Amino acid sequence: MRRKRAGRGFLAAAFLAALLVWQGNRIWQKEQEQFPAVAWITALEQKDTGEIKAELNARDEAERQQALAGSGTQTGAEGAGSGAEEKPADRESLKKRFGQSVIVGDSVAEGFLDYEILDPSSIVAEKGLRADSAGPDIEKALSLSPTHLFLSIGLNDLEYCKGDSSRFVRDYEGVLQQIREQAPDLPVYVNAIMPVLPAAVEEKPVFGYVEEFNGALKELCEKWGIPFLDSGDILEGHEDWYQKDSVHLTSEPYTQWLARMEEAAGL
Amino acid sequence: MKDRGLKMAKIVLLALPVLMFWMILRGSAGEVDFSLLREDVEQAVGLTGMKQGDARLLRRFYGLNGEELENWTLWTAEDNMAVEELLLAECETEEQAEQVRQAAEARVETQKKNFEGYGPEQVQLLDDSVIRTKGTCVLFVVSAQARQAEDAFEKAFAFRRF
Repeated sequence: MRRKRAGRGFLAAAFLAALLVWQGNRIWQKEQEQFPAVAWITALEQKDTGEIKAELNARDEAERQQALAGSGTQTGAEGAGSGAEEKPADRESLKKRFGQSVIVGDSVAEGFLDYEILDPSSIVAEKGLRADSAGPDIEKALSLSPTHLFLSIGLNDLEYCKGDSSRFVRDYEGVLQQIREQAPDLPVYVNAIMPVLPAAVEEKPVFGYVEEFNGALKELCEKWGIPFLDSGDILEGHEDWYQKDSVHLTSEPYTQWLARMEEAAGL
Repeated sequence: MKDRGLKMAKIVLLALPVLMFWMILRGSAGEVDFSLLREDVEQAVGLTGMKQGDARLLRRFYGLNGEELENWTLWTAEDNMAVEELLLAECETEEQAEQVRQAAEARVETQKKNFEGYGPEQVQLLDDSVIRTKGTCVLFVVSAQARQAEDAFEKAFAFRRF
C-alpha cells in the first residue's frame, strides 16, 4: 500500500516536471519547426535555367506583341520615319532586352552577375578565365542556346602570356574556332580588355600591355569578320569606378557597358 | 500521508533547480535584445565598403528564407572582388540556428572556391572568418574586424546571462 502511494507520488511529481518543461520553454515547443520553403527553393534550383529562361522569354515576347498590337500601327510608322528609336536604358529594360544572349568572361565580366545586372543564365564567368582555358566555359555557354554570344576575355592572359600579344591572339583564335565549329551562324561579339588604372601597372607592369593586346585582338576580329567592341571610354574620368586593386570595376559602369553591347548587337 | 507529502515536496524541490538551470541554459540566448546585439556587432565590424542585403540576397547567398527567421541582418561587400560579409540571425529554434550555421559554413566554402588561386587576401579573410552560435543566435563575419565582432557577440550574451 505504502509502496503504491509512493509510486503515485513519484508519478505526480514527474507529471509536474513535464508540465513545467512544456510551459516554461517556448523553444521546446517550436523545436519541430523547419524551413518549409527550403524544399521549394531546392526544387527550383534543380530546374534547368535554360528552360526557365526560354519560358520567360516566350512570355515576354507574347506581352510585347500584345503591347504592340494595342498601340496600333502608329508606333511602326514613327519608328520607320525617325530611324533609330530611343530604347530605355534602365537596368530592367537592359536585362530584358539582353534576353537569351550570353556573356562568357573573366572576373570583370563576373560583375554583371555579382551586381545583378544580368541573370545567372546570361553569364558564364569565372575568375582567372583565360583564352587558352576557356573551352569548357564556351561549351557551357553554347549549351544555353544563346541568340548572341559576347566574349570578355583577356585580363588574365596579360600575365599568362607575359605580355606576348601574338600568343594571346593565337589562344583567342582557338576560342573563335571552337565557337564557329559548334555554332557557325551564332552572332559573336568580342569585348576589348577594359583599361586599368596606372596604379595597377605600377604594381604589375604586365598590365601596361592592355592597349597592345586590344590592338592585336581588334586585328583578329577583323580577320574573322567579328565585331570588336571597345567600351573602355566609359571609364574615362571615372577613377572612382575602380575597386581598390585599380583593375576591377564597381557596379556603376556595367549598365552603360551592357547598353553598348546591346546597341552593337541591335538588341 | 505526511510521509508521502514530504517525499513529493522533496522530489519537486530537487527537480525545480535542475529544470530552471536547464531552461536558463537553453532559453537565455533568445532573451538577448536583438536590436542591441545587432548594434554592438555592426559597430565592431565597422561596415565600411559594405551594403545592407535584403531577403533575396539572403536566399541567394545562403539559401535561407528571411521570413522564417525571428530576426536577421545581412551586410555584404559593395565590390564584387571584396569578400567582407556579416550575417547575424536570431532563429526560432536551435535546430534552425544549426541550419543557419551550416549555411554560413557552405557560404565560406563557396567563396573560398571562388577566390582560390586568384585572391590570396580574400582567401585569408575567409580563412579567418568567424561563425558562432549562442542558443538561437548565429553570427557569421568575414572581415578584418571579425575577432572584434566575435567579442561583441560573446559579451552581449555574457552580460545578460550572469
